[in-house]
Amino acid sequence: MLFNKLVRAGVRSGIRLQSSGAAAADAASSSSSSLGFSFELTDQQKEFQQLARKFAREEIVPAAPVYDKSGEYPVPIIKKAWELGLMNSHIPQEYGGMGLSIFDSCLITEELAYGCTGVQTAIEANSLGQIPVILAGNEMQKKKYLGRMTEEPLMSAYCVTEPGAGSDVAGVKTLAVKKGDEYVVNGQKMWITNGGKANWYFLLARTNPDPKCPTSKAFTGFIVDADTPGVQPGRKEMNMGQRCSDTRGITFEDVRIPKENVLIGEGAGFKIAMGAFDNTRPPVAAGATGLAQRALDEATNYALERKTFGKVIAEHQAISFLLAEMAMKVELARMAYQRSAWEVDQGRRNTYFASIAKAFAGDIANQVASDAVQVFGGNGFNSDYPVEKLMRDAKIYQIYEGTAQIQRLIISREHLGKYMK
Amino acid sequence: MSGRVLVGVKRVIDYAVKIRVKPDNSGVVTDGVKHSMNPFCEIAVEEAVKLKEKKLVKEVVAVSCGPQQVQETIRTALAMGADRGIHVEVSGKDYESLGPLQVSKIMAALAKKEEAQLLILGKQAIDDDCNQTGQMTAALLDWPQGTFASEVTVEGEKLKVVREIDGGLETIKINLPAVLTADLRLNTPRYATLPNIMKAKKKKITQVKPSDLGVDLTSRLQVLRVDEPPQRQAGVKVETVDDLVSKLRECGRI
Repeated sequence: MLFNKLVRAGVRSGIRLQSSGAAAADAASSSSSSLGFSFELTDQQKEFQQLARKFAREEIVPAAPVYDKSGEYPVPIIKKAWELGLMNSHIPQEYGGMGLSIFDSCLITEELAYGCTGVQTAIEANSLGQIPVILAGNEMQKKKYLGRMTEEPLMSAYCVTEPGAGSDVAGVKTLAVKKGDEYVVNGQKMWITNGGKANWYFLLARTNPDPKCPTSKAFTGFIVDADTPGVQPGRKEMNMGQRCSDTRGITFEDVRIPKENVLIGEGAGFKIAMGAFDNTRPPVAAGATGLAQRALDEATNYALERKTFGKVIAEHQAISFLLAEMAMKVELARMAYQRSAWEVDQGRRNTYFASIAKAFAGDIANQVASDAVQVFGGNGFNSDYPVEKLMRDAKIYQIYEGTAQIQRLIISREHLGKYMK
Repeated sequence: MSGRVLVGVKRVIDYAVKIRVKPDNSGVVTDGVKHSMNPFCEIAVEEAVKLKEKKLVKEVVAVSCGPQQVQETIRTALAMGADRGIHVEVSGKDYESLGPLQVSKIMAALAKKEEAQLLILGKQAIDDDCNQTGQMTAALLDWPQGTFASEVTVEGEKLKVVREIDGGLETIKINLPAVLTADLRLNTPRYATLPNIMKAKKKKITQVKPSDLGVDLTSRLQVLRVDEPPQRQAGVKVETVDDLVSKLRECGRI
């Protein structure tokens, strides 16, 4: 009876995943390919992961505390990552990029984030700025703005949030007015990662000021060169964590953008801005997972050295149970981001999985980092030990790329949508 | 000098892994343990690739002896810049008893077959610490050897090699063809870049059997037993220098 149930479950999952086709066949080793579903990485994926891991452990980990204290932008590390091909992974091969799948870039992201999420966010923000161009740009735009990223280590930024509009993207007030062959943009953006370092921005501005105009038609996506007159990055903001990442407000004062820099057309902006997230939420979830893994490793190593009451603290169930729960969360977060990345690589809409992965990974990163500090005890609170930085760095994962609350809104909408007739 | 460089790379247990002895004391546990390229072999590959970048050699060929898994090690060498690989298939009992003598016979045969001008090896492997293969290969080929190399300069058809020796540094000049063994300070191995990892997949690895090279793998050595080093004993603290001297006398150390 039980056997029949198992067989049926196996067949069901096999059929559902039949559509994965080439990717699954590629990913599965000869022994597991008959099952359809696979957790096996290809040899190439393992090599990519090894490279990123080696780079993170040797280059990022030692430098991270220094950058955290000074808040200085980690230029040498970014340059080296660029040279090794660890950046700009999403750029298609015809523009000089690696053309990696979202899954492959998530593997790399998790490893880099293990080293330092501040460094990793600076690198990831590049992808966030580029994805609208990759998804919606025309040939000329892609060649011009993606091509240059692979010729020199340049940064880009995603310029949507404003002081008065974060979660409520429809509340964006930056206005773009068409004047002849140009758009004149005025407004204020805030919390822009790489704001002071970017060579160009993806900008979302309102082109239809009529309040009755539906959101899906009122906004336009632009590519803006950072050296355009009128673009004024503000001061570098001092944040709680990920302190070496460059976050700024940007003022746009009578900035003129040529009409050639409009993505798709006037009014298409909202959809482009939102569509990017399905591709960028899995890597952000991967980053949070990398942080959580680091916290788990640090806490576990400490627990095997520190002694209290005659034994190493790992032998006290209070600690070992804490570590067990941390391990549970890390493994599940990993599976979640991998599923969401795999879904979008299959060409399917992965919104449900991407939001689940991002929400879960962001939440557990905070829990695991806080628990890691707890395992370290008094030492954990101190800046000579690595875990307090992890706790400070983790918080933003519940805020950017869609707050924990927005994710729940999305998940509930997607979930209920499946049940409604 | 313009020609072919052969680089030997060995797949060993990763340097960061804690080694455990098998319960039957016949060897160390290798199943499921992380393996990677011997660090001195990485330095050897780096040196070969550097020579190619300076256009002093035409082709870098990475060679490894062992079972199917050593192809990963060859791929790492390809990702670092080697042009092609040769996998000498050795498995099972032969692999367990594979040592410097057999490997140097294989290397010598390949050096002749591939008409290599230069053979670069790591000075020793971190698993057996033999420090013999380079020297034996040179002897079998009757080629000069520059071992423990910390600096190599090409001077026409000769090589100037700075060697790290106990007394300091020794500089020698040797004719080509020659065998070099890489020491720690020869260079800093590069990371394989992502594009190079992808390109490496297209590079060729040819399979060869030791019998094709006319090499007999019979070992003249038999490992009797492998034991862990003795556990470190606690030390004793003394108050004064006189105490230290008398204690050392007591245990017969001085």
